[in-house]
Amino acid sequence: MSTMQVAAPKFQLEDSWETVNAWFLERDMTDGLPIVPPTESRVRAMSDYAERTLGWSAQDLVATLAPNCGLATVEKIAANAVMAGCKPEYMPVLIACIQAIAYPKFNLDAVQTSTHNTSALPVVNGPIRKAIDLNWGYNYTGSRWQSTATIGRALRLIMSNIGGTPGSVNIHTQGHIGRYEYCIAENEEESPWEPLHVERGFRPGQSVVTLIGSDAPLSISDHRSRTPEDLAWVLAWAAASAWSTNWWPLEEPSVFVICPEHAEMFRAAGWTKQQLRRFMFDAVHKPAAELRRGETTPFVHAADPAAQVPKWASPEAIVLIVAGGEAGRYSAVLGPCTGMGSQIVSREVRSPWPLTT
Amino acid sequence: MAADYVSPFDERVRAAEPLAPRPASIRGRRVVLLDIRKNRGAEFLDRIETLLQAAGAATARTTKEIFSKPAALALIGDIAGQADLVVEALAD
Repeated sequence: MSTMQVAAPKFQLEDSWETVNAWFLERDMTDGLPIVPPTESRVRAMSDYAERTLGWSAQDLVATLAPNCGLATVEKIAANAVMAGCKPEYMPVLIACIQAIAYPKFNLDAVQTSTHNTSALPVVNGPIRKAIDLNWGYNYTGSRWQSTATIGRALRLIMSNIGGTPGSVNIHTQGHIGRYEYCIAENEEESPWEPLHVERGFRPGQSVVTLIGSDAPLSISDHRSRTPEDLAWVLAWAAASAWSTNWWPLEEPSVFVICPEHAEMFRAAGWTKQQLRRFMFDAVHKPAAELRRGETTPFVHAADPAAQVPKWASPEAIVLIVAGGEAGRYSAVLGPCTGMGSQIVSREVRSPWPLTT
Repeated sequence: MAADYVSPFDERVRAAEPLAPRPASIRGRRVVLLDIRKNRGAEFLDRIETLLQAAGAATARTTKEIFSKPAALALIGDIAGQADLVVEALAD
């Protein structure tokens, strides 16, 4: 590839918060919010932490990021992490996220460049959640919580600043709040089931990030169900319009974030995750004739009009995690990144964490 | 007073690739129509193919695995080996 330099890897500016923020904003290197200026000393503190804990040095290449084949070195990741407001100890999580989105199965190229309103969602599992104080309780999506908010924000800045020419990537027709920050830690402590990373083949004591191309959440209120069957039916049918009202069956995963009070109902009834997933899959079917309006699938067009079509191609397309505060019967469903061949990718976070508990 | 900052983006940019030379006429040329599997792309190509054939071109159709990923190198090589021109359809 022939290349030319459009800006120096390092440069000098007036040591002023206002000047630096104006400079970065003018060059479209931010998400529109103010940034922490990436001074050499701040960036070095980040990359030094990665070197100390992971053995990566500042110029090591972590991944090549689509669509522009940008080189995500530890130093570049660190600069964006500083801008987002991260602490150095978040670097191992960020590096694992970058490795996951760069894996071909994730198809970052499509997730980044589509007009569909999707974004890369990291779900964090394992001891690291406590070590860096991620939020899996009330208001778990990030606001007012430094680790969750800034890891999600840094991931977004990295995807646009390194993966694409600044300002050129986001052509979402509608946009998505996850393009500011998107990060969820699972509430493993209040889950009746094995956490997501264990389900995907890791040990409970491993720290893992799982990256999912995901729509914005749809909140599902249910304060009235008194049986697990009723609750499972309500949750499943809330997703009937995921992606599009008549686009059945969905091949890609819908992520259900089950709140602790809802999870408790399934725990009390002794439902396994597999039972719940199977019940939800069986619950949501419609005759093909009712789905032949507007955007629908070739599967629906080819089916007998009376044939029952499921919302999901298989029960495995229903992903279940637990998160949220202990009070309030609100779960959520996050629709999929459909048709783009983006698959879920998990990556272990490698770091000798000094656990807080 | 000045301070030193680290750039957060990859400063390299790809040099622009020049466009391939355009033929003066398509009569007698071999044209491959690449369906990227985007919804209704085939309908668009049907129309283009009719027009190309009427103008004297020889046409062939091929498809990509999925619209959201780059074409496989083997497919690109296959097209390059049999075609003078390529039409790639984007639709929805």
